[in-house]
This record gives sequence, C-alpha cells and structure tokens, in this order.
Amino acid sequence: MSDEILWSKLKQGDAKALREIYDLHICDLENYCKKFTKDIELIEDVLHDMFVNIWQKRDTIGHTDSIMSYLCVSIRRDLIKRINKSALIISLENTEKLDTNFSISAEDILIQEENSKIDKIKLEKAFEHLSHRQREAIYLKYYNEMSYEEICTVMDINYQSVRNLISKGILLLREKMIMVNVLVFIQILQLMYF
Amino acid sequence: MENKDTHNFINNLVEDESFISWVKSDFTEDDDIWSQYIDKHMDQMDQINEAIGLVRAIDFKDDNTIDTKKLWQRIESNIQIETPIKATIVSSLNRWRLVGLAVAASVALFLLFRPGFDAEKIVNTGIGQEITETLPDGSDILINADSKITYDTKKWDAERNVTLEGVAFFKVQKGSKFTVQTSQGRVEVLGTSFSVNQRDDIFEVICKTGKVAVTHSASSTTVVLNPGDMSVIENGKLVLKSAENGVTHKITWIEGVYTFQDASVSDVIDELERQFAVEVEVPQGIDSTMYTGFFNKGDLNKALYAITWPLGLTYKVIDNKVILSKE
Repeated sequence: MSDEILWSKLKQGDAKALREIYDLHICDLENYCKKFTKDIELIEDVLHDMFVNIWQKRDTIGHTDSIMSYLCVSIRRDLIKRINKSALIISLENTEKLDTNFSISAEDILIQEENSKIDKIKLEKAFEHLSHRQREAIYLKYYNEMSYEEICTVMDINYQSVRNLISKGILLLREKMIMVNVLVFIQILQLMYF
Repeated sequence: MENKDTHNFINNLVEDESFISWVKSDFTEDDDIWSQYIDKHMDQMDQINEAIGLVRAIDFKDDNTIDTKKLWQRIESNIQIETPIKATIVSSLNRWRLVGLAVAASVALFLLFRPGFDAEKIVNTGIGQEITETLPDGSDILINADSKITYDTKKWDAERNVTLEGVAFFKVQKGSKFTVQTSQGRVEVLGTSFSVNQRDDIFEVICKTGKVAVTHSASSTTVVLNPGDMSVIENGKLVLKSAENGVTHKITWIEGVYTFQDASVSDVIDELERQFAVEVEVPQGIDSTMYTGFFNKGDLNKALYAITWPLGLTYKVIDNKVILSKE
C-alpha cells in the first residue's frame, strides 16, 4: 500500500494502519536511533511516545507521502532533545558544547562477502573524517535510500545543503579509502554478459 | 592522483538517485537505462566500477535488539483503539439507506458468485465515506464519497482496466498499461499516481507522479500530463493546464482539503453534502454566487464557517440538517 493512502487511513482512525506503519518501519527507526545513542531504554521510550502521539493526534497531524521521513523527523527531534537534557544533567560543570553525535562504528558497517577486500577498519576510519551531519546524510541516502528531498525534511536543512553534505562526504570517503574493485568488476561482467 | 574530471565523473554517479537504486537493487531497477549507459561509456568502465563499488560499500548492518512485540503491546495498552469508524458512518446514514445498502450488497454478492458470470468487482462508496481498494497487482485506489469503481478480477492479469464514476486517487504499480474508463473519456498510464474527478460533465485529471495520457471521448482529443499538470473540460474541449511558472496543481482532497476557485455556491454545497453526509438548505438567490476558498473534512462546524463567512451567511446545524441564512 502506498504511503499516502496508508497515512490517510491512519488519519481516519484505522488502527490496522498504525500497526502496519509500526511493522514496516520499527527496525529501520531503531537502527537510525542507535546512531545517536546506545541507550536502548531511551530509544524504546522515544519510539513508544511517538507512536502513541501520532495515534492520539491523528486528526491534526499533517499529511505526508513519505512516512519514513515523517517518522524520522519526529523521532530525531525528540531524541536529540532528550539526549541533550540528560547530557546537561551529567555535565553541568562541564562547559563542553552539547552537540548531537551521529556515530558509525566498525560493527555497523556491513561488508558483503564479494566486497570483503574493502577493509572494514579502513571504511570506519574514513567515516571518522566525516562530520556528524555528513555521516547522517550519507546514512539516510545509502542505507534508508531516501531521496534528497526527504533528507531535507528529516535534517531540516535546504536542498543545496543536503547535496553538499553528501557530495563532500563522498569525496572524503573516497580520498580516505583505496577501493579494490576488481572483484566487483568481474561480478558486473558476469551479470551483464552471462 | 586522479584529475578533477574523473573525480567529478565518479561523484556524479555515486550521487545519482537512479544510479543508487540500480546498484542497491542488485542491478534490477532502471537496469535498461544503466545497461545502455555502460555500453556508451565503455572507455570509462574503471570509474563506473569504482562508483558501483562505493555505493555497494556504504551499507550498514541491521542492529535490532528491541523486542518489537513487547514494545507494540506497550504502545497498544496506552492508546484506546476505538471500534472501527465504519460504525459512525452507518449511524449517520438513515435507515432506508441502510436497507438500500443491504439490498445492494446482496445483489452484488449474488452477481459475484453466480457461476459463469464475469468476476466483476464493484466498490461503491456512500456519502461521507472514503474507501481504499487494493487491486490484484497491488495498485491502490482511494475512492472518494459517492463514487463507484468496477473492474474484472479474472481478466486483471491480461488488462488493467477500471471503470470510474465519481472521484478517485490512483497509485498505480509499474507494469502494463493501466486504463481508467469514465463516461467522459479515459486515462491511460504505465505506473504513476493521479486523481480523476468525473462527476456530471466534469472530467478533471491531476497527475502527481509519472506520465498520464488523458483522452476525451466527445472531442476524441488526447493530452499528456506531467507531474503537477491538470486537464479539464472547458467549453466542450479538453484543455491542458500545465504546471508552469511554479504553479503546480495539487490533489488536495486526499489530504482532506477541498479547494474551490470561482466555483458556484451550489457546487460547493454539493461537495459539502457529499463529504459530511448532511442536507443543506440554502436561501434563495445565492446558488450562482461565486466562491473561492476551501474547507477541511473532519469538522463540520469549521467547514461551514469557512464557506459561510466569506459569503456573509450564518448557519445552524440540526442533526443531519444544515440551514444557511442571510445575516
């Protein structure tokens, strides 16, 4: 079912639509949240509150034709607010600037078998050179496969900024990594000609 | 070291949305485009491969530890899931209409299961109602109030053909030609989303994504719509209102918003009656007054205010009846 129709069913009070939205996106949402914090209890609370909230406010919430980005906007705002709040309590004495982290560790990186020549550690190190925002934009683009417009909505920045974040991020990744493509090349030829 | 052009060539590919979905879908989506592209750029195969390798490499593991069943139970226990809204729809219809619906339903059932009869499926919405119908290929139709669609479930694989009376929004899965037949003309697409409004002699099509071909039967003319374009009938002719100068035509009713531009009051009242299942009494002599504005489905009082205020009218609601009067 398409996003706009599923959403309009939810807005009309169809509880099955809420369940369907939950089932479709809960895993991706959890993955996304974990890049901001490892605090599972906090993530569960934020996810719980969001789903309760969209159900209770279904009459007044806006319309969307990309449910995943709608949910990401809401979860991101809430998560960052709560992370900063708890950080504030812990580090009251600390003058360190409160910022949102978007971390990608070696364990997060999926290395497909045929790609095993690409060093996991190398890729992780390369990600370290990226800013948090570059990392987040790249994550949404290549993992969640969001459109540039959807990323604008989620990160609340304009189109050109998203293009720049991704473009510069990709350049940096490439500079920091030496790609081994021979294996991929052979695979493509096989796919195309055999 | 690579020169700047090579650098840009690879980056352009890696950032291209169609290229990303081609690689991420294991070279199935948009494959015809990219196979052709590779044939044309054989000399740059190394760079293309680097781009492919990079898009494939940027992938992350699923890291799921939350017990999703338990979390759902927690959510469910904190919201009151009410009985389906169908109950309220039924109560807003009068008893005779209910009997009529029951009769219609049994006739439909009889027709549907009569042996040897075409597997024709009819979906009919009452006033104030909106229904989603999922077709055998996964395409969706959101059917507005007081509308009807018909299609043949048996012949569906051979031809995707839907007959429409009224207003509906279509989200069509990619595949063979998909045709919407109305009394005024037909709409043909491959895979896209669009809205069709065919009530009385209105025949209005708005394209949201993809490409849509609209054919008007009476004048046997065809126009092709791109996203944001709209086609209407003006003086018996099919007219294309394209989305130029930043003005795109939007399908607002699927968001519950009904907009009007220089519409007669009687048209606005008709729509209101259809969406809220009410009867409206209008004072004499204002039927042909023009109205520009909108109302939202959901709250009858707000909608009535939005309509009556600019016209200098007041309203009173008594059960399913609305009485408008001059101030």
